[in-house]
Amino acid sequence: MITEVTSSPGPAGTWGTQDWPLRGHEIIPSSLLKQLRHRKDMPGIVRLVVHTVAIVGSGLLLWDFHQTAWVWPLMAIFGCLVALLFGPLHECAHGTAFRTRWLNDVVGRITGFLVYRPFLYFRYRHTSHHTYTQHLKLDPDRVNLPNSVTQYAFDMSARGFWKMCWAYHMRGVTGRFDDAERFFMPAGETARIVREFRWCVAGYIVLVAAALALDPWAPLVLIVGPRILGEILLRVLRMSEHTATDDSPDLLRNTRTTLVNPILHYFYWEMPYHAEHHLAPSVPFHALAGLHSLVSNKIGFVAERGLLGAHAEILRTVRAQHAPVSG
Amino acid sequence: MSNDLDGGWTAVAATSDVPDNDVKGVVVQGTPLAVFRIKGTFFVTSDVCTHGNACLSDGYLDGGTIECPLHQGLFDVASGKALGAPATEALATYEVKLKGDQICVKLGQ
Repeated sequence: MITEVTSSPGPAGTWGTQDWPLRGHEIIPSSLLKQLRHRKDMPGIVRLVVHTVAIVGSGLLLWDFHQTAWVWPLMAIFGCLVALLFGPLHECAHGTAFRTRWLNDVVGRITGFLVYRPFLYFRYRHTSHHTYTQHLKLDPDRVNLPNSVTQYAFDMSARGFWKMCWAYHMRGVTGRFDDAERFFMPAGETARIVREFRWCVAGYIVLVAAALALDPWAPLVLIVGPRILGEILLRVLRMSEHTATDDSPDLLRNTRTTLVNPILHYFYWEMPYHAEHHLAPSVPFHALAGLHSLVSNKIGFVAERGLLGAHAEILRTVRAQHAPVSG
Repeated sequence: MSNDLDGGWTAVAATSDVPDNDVKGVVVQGTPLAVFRIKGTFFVTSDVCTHGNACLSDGYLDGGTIECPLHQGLFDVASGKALGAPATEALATYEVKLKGDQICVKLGQ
């Protein structure tokens, strides 16, 4: 039961709680940390502008070519770029995308709306993910090791995410949060979170109505199709971050860094340096590559062959853990 | 360090231990404290984030605010007020007095 968890501090030098005392972060000297976590506005503004231009450009192309065979690749590109807005949402939730605080809030709210993760709700949920990374019961974003290759394919399709997404929106607009959510949301914030869910759902209704007014095909071509395709890429990325790492509070062993291609690094706002991010969540995205070069040899899981390497490792673990016992 | 002085004031650090616009964590009589020096003025708060059990002295000091290193909850150093999610509960602050080169606070206030 979640209510039986103690939130008292862990041993000296650890982060988090007695139940899950996070360690590993101490490998980064505080003098280095002070340099790396220096906040700036400009890297975030530039990346946001490039990301927005890419989304708008691919969206316009998609609409121009939606009655041709190009609709599928363009829908995938547009959908992936929209789904990758999870990157700035995540960065804004940590307050590290921009030095200016209100910019993090504004961009976080807009990107949260666009990827169906209301900002405030996501922020509290995400704090729990950082406190209880890979805890079997308390990590709200834990992606369990699939119990078969079929289950792995199911996870990659993002069907599980859509089911969960629908469910938390329903709970959000009605205010009927479940035990797990009440565990990570301060009671005093519930009304604000419910209000945000209601604004988001109202926004989605307006968005669909506007698309319908444009063209009967528009909701399918510009919203439903791209979001389904884009979320698959996001699942592939999200699974690479923790799945088949250790179920342990050791930050050097419970998170994987995946060295993806430079384009994906860029549009995912450096989140593939995920182990570095968990070791030092206050370090902004533009300093993670620097941190990686300093600590990568101490990180237990680094997929140097990119997403293919990370997922080959996941599949190997799936097969090894669920192989039939002979004899 | 822990030095009991007159009137219930306790020395928690030497002024030279805390560079300007920086923070230092100390444990005094079992109480974790964050000692700040901001534009020459000293402030002392609890060193433990009210939200997530991490040392604020390991956090990001930006002007008069300190940000928790674990979840980036934000506090005003002078008042202890929680300024940003996920922190919602204020930080304990302590009255500060300088005695020579010693930074002193009244614990248990």
